[in-house]
Formats: sequence, structure tokens, C-alpha cells
Amino acid sequence: MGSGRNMTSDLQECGLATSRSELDASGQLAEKRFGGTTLYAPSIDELESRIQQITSSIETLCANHASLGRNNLAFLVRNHTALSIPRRVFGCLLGAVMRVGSIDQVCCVSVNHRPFRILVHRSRTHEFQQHLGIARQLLQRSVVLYVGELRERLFPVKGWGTWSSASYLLARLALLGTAAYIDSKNFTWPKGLEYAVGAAH
Amino acid sequence: MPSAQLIDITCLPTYGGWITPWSDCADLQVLGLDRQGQLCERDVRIERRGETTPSGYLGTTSAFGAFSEETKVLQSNGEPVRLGRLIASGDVRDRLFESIGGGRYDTASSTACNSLWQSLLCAAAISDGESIVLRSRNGECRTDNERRLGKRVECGSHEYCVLHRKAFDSSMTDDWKGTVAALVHQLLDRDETGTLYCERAMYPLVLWYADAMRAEGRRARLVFDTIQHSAIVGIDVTSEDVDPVAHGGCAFLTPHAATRIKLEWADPSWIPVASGFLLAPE
Repeated sequence: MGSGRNMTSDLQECGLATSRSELDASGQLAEKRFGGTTLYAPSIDELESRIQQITSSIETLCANHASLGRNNLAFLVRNHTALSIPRRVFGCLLGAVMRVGSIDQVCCVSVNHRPFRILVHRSRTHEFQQHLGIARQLLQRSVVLYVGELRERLFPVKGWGTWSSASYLLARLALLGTAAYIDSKNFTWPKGLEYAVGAAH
Repeated sequence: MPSAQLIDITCLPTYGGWITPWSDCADLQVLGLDRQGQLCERDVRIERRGETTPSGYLGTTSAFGAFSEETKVLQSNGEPVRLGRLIASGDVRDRLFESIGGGRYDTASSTACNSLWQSLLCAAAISDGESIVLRSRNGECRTDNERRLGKRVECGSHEYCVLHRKAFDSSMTDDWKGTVAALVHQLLDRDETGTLYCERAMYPLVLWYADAMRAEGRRARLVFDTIQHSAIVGIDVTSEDVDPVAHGGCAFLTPHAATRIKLEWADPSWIPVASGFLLAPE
């Protein structure tokens, strides 16, 4: 899946809303609750078909990538469905996909020490753990690891999103303390970490 | 015999602390409610089934735990419900659950210490089995417990807390409340509202901390990302009462496999507790 062109002008309204007032409808609305949010649509058929279309797209596109940030996934879904999806609607339906275990969130930390989350599809969970192990080995061997080098090793095809996926692995290791940021593109093995286990004795 | 379906990362309360059923065990005593509603121990048998299942989670403001989809819990109205049903329907917040906190215990048992140690491994930067090196979230050691619990080392720009197994066991045996508080101070992050939180794989530490707060006359309110999913478990300590009967706060499944566990017990009038929830027998 490529990055896609800017399709803002071609997007159709998704027809789902998180409040009745957002839908310009005089009659009865169909509704369905997801967690703490209720989605509304003009009819039950529209409600069910749009939910199915968007959640299916979320799952398919997430599975196509080793890992994704939420905003990138929203961008892909928007392009894939040609629908303009309000942020709260997207969050609600992403939550529904996560609720049934199709997608999980993984915690990471940014170069500015801020926590953030990435999304991993259930079909890529094992691969993600394997990649973490490889990244850790490369980091320990190389001392300094450039994101591009990890990307080269794990994603030789270099598709859209693979740079981010490589950087997310290192951001995950940074959260665990097995990597440290030099800058946003370079990571280092924390000096002396391999000897730290002996410090307790 | 009555039985319940769990997974190997479900927390079971005992008079020595929280344990997770890592291995088959025929002579284990866990806490539950008798026919008078009193908390008491009973013998249980734990059998690992061999096959794996996706791990699910259920939480309220007073309880949080890992279960299988097939696990049946009791609602406050006495009706059983399977976790899978709660997840599929998405109506967990309409359900009420009575949470049962851990027992009042003075000393942590070796089994409970082992279970907590195992759960800390998931957050390790590096480990050799006898020592765990964990990235420290907070700077200096404030208490004697923190200073006694483990060494602090600097590696590059990070600080780490190095736990050694023997010191950890000794510290938990001597003063589990102080040890758990020290671990929480070193290992949990704090968000912009002041809530302490950790990744959900470390949830046993949160349960221990809630018990420690309860022993000091304080209360702990658990918080999650959303009703539909949570990557973390948060804990707010308060002096106000937290209602043990609470609406469901989250119910979800994850792609992470866990080993199926069968819990059996002999007394049909006794109801075991798991992660603060009452289990309904199969």
C-alpha cells in the first residue's frame, strides 16, 4: 500500500456521528454504543455497513504493516475507504477492533522522553517480538544503531511505513531501557548495561 | 468438583500475597468467600491444560485481572457472565461487580514472591534470572526500602534499579508493604494528572500496591485508557472510600497467548477470588 495522493476533495462523509446534533436528520436515528461513545447514523443499514467498512479497513491496513501510529492508520483508512472519518468516530471503531484482540497497543517513548503508543496487528505480534530481539542484538553489537540500518535489515523491500516501523522498535527498546536516543535517527546501547546484572551481587 | 477456567497470568489471592499459577499444584490454598460471605482459604488444584488461548482482561475501579475468554465471573447480582460475552457485547460498563481485596497478610510467602518476580521480568531491560535490571522512572532513593531493595546504576544516560533475587525475597518477607511501595516509586510512570501507571503485564504489582494502601487505611482507584482497551493499568491513591461494587471499567482481548489453567476445588459452597473478582464455577 503506497502513501496515496491527497484525496481530501474526493472524500465522502462517512455518515457516522458521535452526537445526534451532528447529523442533520429529523427522524429516528440508529445508534450503537462502543465503550463510552455512541455512534449514530440515519438508519440501521447505514450504521452497520459503515461500521463494517471502516473496521474491516482498519484491520486489513494494520495487518499490512509491521506496526503503525494511530494517525498513520487513520490516514490509510481514509484513503482506502475514501471516507472523511471524524477523529472520535475513528477512535471509537479502532477501539472496537482492539477490544476483540485484533490489534494491540505497544508503549514506546520518544526522543523527548514522551510516552506514545503504536499499533500492532495480531498477525504481526510474533514478528514484532522477533524484530525486537534482532534490534537489541544489533544495538548491543554495534553500540550505535541508525534507524536506516535496522530498516535495511528487517524490511529490505523498504515499503511505505517501514522507516517508522524500524524507529518504533527502537523506541520500544528505549522505553524498556535497552536503548537510548542519541537523536531521532540514532540509538545507542546504554554503556555498561550488560554488566549491570552483576552490580546487585 | 467445581472448576473455573483461567490462564497462567491470572492473579489468585492467598494469605501470603498474590500468586500466579505458573505450574501445576495440587496443594495450594487460595482465598474465596464461604457461604456466610467471609473471606477464607480453601485447598485448590491447579492444572495446566497445555494449550494456549488469547489473554483477556477485565477491570473495575477496584479490581483488574487477566483471564481467558471462557472465564466466568460473578456479577454483583449473582449472575455469572463469561469474559468473552462481555467483550463481544461491549456492555461491560452496564454490569456491576463486587471486588474482593486481598487478605490481610503480614508476610509475603515464597510462592507469592516468586510470582511477583516473574511479572517484573516482563519489564526488564536485562536479566540473568537471579538479577533483574529495570529502568528507573524516578531519581533518588527516598526510603530505606528503596536503598535496601537494590542497587542503582547509571548506564549511559539512563538510571536503572538492579534487583537481586535473594535481596528481593528477603525484603518482601521482612516488609512487603515497604518493598512494594519502593518498587512502585522506582518503576511506575506518572502521568500529567499524577496517576501512577505501568504496562498491563505488570498489573500484579498494582494489585500488591492496592493491598499495601488498604493496609495503611487508604484506598486505591484503578484507571484504564478506555472501556474498550487499555495498554496500561493506572492507580490513584485516595483517602476516600472506593465502592467495592463498581461498574465494569474495561473488558478486552489481546493477541498475546497464555496457557490455559483449570482451577478445581472441593467445597461447592465456596467461591474463589481471582484478581479481585468472584469466579463462577463451570
